[in-house]
Amino acid sequence: MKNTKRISALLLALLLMLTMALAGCSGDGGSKESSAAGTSEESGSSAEESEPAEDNGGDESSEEEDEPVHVNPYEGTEYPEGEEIVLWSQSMGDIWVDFFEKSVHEYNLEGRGYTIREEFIAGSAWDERIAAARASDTCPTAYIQSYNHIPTGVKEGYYDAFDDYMDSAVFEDMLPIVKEMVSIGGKTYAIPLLCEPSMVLYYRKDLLEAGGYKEPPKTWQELTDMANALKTDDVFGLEIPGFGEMGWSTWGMQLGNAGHGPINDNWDAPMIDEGYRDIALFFKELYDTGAVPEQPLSGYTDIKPFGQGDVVFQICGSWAVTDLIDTYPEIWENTGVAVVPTKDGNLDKTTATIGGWVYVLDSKAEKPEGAADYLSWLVSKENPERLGQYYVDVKFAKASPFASIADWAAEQAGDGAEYVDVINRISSFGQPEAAYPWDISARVASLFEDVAMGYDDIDSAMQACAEDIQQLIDDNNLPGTDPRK
Amino acid sequence: MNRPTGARARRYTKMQKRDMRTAYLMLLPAVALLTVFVVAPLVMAISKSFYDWNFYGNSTFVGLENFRVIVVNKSFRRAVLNALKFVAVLVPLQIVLQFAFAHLLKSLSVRFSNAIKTAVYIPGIIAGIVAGIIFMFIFEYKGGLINQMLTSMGLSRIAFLNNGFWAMFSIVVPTIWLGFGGGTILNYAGLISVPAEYYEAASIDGAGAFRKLISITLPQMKNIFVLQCISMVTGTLQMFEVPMMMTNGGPRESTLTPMLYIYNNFKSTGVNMGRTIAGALLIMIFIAILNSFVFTVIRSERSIDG
Amino acid sequence: MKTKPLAKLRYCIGCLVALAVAAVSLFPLLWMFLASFKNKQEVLATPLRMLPKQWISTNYEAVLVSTKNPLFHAMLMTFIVAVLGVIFSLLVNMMAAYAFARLDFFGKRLLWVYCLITMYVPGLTILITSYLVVHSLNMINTVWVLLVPGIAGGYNIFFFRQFFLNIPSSLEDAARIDGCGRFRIFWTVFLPLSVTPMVVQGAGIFIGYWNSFMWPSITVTDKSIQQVMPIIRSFQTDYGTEYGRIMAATCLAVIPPIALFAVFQKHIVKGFVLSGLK
Repeated sequence: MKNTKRISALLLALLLMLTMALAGCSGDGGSKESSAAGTSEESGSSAEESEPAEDNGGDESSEEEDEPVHVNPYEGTEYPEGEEIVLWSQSMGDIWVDFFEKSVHEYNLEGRGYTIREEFIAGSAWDERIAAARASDTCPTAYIQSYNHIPTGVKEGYYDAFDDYMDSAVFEDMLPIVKEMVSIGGKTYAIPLLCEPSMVLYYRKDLLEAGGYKEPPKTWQELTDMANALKTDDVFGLEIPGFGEMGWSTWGMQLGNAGHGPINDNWDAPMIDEGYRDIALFFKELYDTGAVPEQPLSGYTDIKPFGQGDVVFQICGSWAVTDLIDTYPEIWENTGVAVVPTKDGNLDKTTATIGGWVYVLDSKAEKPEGAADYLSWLVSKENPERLGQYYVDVKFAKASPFASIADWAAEQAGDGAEYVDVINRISSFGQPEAAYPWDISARVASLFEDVAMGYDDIDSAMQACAEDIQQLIDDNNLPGTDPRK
Repeated sequence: MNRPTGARARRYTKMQKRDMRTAYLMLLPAVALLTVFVVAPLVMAISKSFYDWNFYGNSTFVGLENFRVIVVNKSFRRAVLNALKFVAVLVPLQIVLQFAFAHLLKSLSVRFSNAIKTAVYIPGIIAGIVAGIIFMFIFEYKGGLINQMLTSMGLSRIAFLNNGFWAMFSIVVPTIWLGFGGGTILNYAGLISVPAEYYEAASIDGAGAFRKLISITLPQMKNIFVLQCISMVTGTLQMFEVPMMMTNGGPRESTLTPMLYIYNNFKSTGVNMGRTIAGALLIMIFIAILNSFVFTVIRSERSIDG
Repeated sequence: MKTKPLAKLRYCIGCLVALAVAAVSLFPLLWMFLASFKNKQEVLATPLRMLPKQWISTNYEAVLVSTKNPLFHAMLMTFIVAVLGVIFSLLVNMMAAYAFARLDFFGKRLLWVYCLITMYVPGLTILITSYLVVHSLNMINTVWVLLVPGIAGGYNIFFFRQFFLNIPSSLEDAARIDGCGRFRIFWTVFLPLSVTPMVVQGAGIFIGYWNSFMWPSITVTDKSIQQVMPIIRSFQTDYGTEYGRIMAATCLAVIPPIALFAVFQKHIVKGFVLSGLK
């Protein structure tokens, strides 16, 4: 017994010490904050109600503030009277949440007849949350979706078009490709917030230079060769998406190299042809020669392997720029950003699809005008700094879907940021994301896997892939159902 | 309802009748809660499984079509096969390991074994998702602990998550890790409650340690094993957090579990929800059948023992 | 105590093996603990270093101080919900188990099967329809939605019934002769005898509540009652994972369950002594 007691006491003491250490060592502000946290615990949620309307101009990051812990830095502010409109957003990192909390706050202060309340929901539970809300008719007035949800969502009747609630000037300001992505049957179903090309090549300028290369690779062959020439025991050549994530990340590559997707325009037959053969064999070459590690070093959206200096090249989306600048500044100094090579070296064609996030209007919403008013306020041409500030915050890793805001952002970016030009160049050749069901994309990814990992030879793998896609077409009654048509 | 009437009532004594009333009272909360929060949703799910249901549009009755499509789906079939593979590996392995370790702990001093029990139990409180994150780091290709150890010994790295065998291995390890402590304690509790006189009597009869294990310990532990078996089979068939975090079913769907398949379907927009629910129901039926099979096997063994 | 040298050696080897197993079990957690003091770049840096180059507390500051993730508050709320959940769950399920183990009543078999069937219903199967149920009961965004659906459980009933079946009926008969009613017997005979399984199951129930992620994420948006796991998961986003913060938040989040276990560890031992099971 004595021993047990001693051990549990030790354990508890350790944990207590840990907690105390945390409260103590975080410095002055920290300890105040955490003791404040203690009091707000006791009073439960009352902290929210009693929070004074401290006007901090809305430009301070919440972590610096020396006031009790609360959920939103603007919580409790007295806004002019207005009908409450609920929006949902995924919480996509601090920059995102800070930006939209501030936007909502500023909008509400203007008193335009509506008070927006935006709830941020963890991305990891987002899809389930939306499914449950749809099932029970409790969707918020407007919520975040990605571009590729739009065709399906419209087909299923989830979204309402914005046309009736907004000045059409907003739609006219959209870039042509974005307009295409958010419009179905001549109506606009989404207000886009950002554009990010899904495939960009990041390379280490210093390592390329040391290896005697003056330019980043342009063709697949050059990429393979350079990755193999530059890799060492500690630094791998190239990080590419894992097969599980090739389904969506290679959409642009497929469109660029094959000139089409894996099914034909009428959605009634597979189109697994030479273009797909090339891509599969390219991945096989990468694995066979050891240009890529036997297993991806991280998830596709994460720039960590490149940031930690574990690879010479990494293929990742444009969003990675923000993380590189913020988290891996030493690597960023030596980072080059380039168009992902193509088979023939022609970089003036599609290499990426354009991804990103939009607001959609719930088709059962009672006050769509309120959400529409906020969104037109947010993307207003006259005040490009409102949404534009977001691109500044993310270091211009994402492009604006609106021409006038893009111009404003370009001014802020100024010169000397060649990566912005590269991202814009890729975007200009970008195409919309796939509208066909995900299963088909996943099946294409396993074609690449089968060939690259040597599970199957190229001909029979392509044959099997085409057969399976045909099966998916039949099972899901796809012919003639492309919502964009 | 709890007062049988007429001729029937006469068959119960007064005491029995009172017992019945007590029984219903005692059962009421549990049965009511289960009805509202499990059975009602289940019935709703069953009825939805016959529809092409996508929330907003009109749902159309499609009969058994949802079940047909999901049954012929290659990924779904592969997922079920994988689940059986996991059961075949994980259940015996876990039971043997946990029993062996509990047996070892029993032979040690109580103080010492209590400390050890605490230590091995702690991983059990970690959420599967968090365990997935931790082990993803351990099995990482470059910075991962195991591969760093291998390379420092001059061996080549293992692509844990990109190779069928190793991917399975990398899911089995955290799963064992998570359940080990709880199972050990359960076994330990069972071992301790075996009356000491049995062993003393056996010693007098000159039985060796192995003989005692076979003829006393194992039969006495049967209830524990039944419990463990059922919960493990059920748990393994429903496993999805660890594979979701570690491999998301890859490579080549070799670690795709049925629940992960359902979960992924469930998350994607525009997939017929009725079909997803149909798949989930099939898995449920499958689990129930497999469990009743385990029950029957154990029952029949017990009857042999007399 | 006198022991033969061979037995002593075997005992020592046993101790060593047990220690090794415990060390292996705890190692990933130790790693997590150390990683929580590393910055994001260092968590997976090569070559491997167990100890942080520089012990930083920014991860803890971020999870404790940040206004977006009120972790402390969430821990408190989760703790309250979990403790209530354990109490109600034990009471409700043990009563049912007692009825099944010790009482004869009309429809027993049917009800038993009814309860058992619920054991096989995977949460995911009924996730959406459960949501519809709690929505129609107006429970969304309340504490009730976190607490009530998890109380009754087929497995717990099954477990306690198995345990009660093993309790010698002589103990109960004695009480009956003294004129005790069934509730009294349940309360005064079965509950005290069940300390051990109660602690074991209670721990499981507590952890179930504490670790639940999917259910609170979809049923609760009100941050004043948000639970721990959704907050931990919110450090993982589409644009990268805050490894250090996840580790820090997890380290904090495992304190209450570990502390509880450390406390109840004694009760397990006491439970054996008291119940006279040994």
